[in-house]
Amino acid sequence: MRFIFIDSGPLGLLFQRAGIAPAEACRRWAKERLAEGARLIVPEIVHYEIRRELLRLAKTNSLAALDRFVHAETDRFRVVTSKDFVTAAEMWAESRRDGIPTADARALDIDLILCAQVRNSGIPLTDMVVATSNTKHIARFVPATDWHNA
Amino acid sequence: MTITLSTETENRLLAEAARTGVGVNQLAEQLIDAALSLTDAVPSNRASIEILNEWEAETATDDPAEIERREVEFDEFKNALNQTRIATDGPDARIVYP
Repeated sequence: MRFIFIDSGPLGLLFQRAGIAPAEACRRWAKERLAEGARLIVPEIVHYEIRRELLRLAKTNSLAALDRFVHAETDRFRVVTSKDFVTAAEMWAESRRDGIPTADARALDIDLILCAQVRNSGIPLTDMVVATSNTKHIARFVPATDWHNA
Repeated sequence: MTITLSTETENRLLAEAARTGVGVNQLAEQLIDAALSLTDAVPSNRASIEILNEWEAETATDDPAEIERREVEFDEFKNALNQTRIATDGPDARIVYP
């Protein structure tokens, strides 16, 4: 079984309206992976980032479709747990000790919470990948690739 | 390829094409793709594929002006996400859409 964690880039593309070439490509990709039997997973922190922007832009139809998709499968939506915050804090400290922070020191750091959710999912690293539009930072912590190749 | 449809199916296809503003050929292809995706999919993923297909059908358009307007709004969406990342995570933030 293959597990694909969807990052904000591709998740934000899936429910753009028809006629937007990158969005149509992303839907084709998602349907192909689904048809192959892959499990597409949406971490809560990623859903939060896309949801708040759709709300701000009053994209109510996109938001409704996104929420239907996110809850269409029982194993798709992964909530952020206390353990995820503990893991994110460890990674935050580790990255700063190594002199390679992922975000400004004052920021909550969405990237590390995402990585913690992925690491704590219980899925073997060999069976998973984060599908993203920007592998910067996160590929240091979890398997990640451009969504076209995931 | 030529496909022969019953009069009733042809009328329904023409009516849906007129309602959505999508060309008849394009609409027919979309509907066939959607049905085949459902056939091919692992059963537990069918609902997800159906949601994506429904979204495409609901928002389908051939109107160049409408597509141009959507592209502008998409750029606004991408810029908003990137700007929020930079505002909250600093100048070295991993922006969503490089």
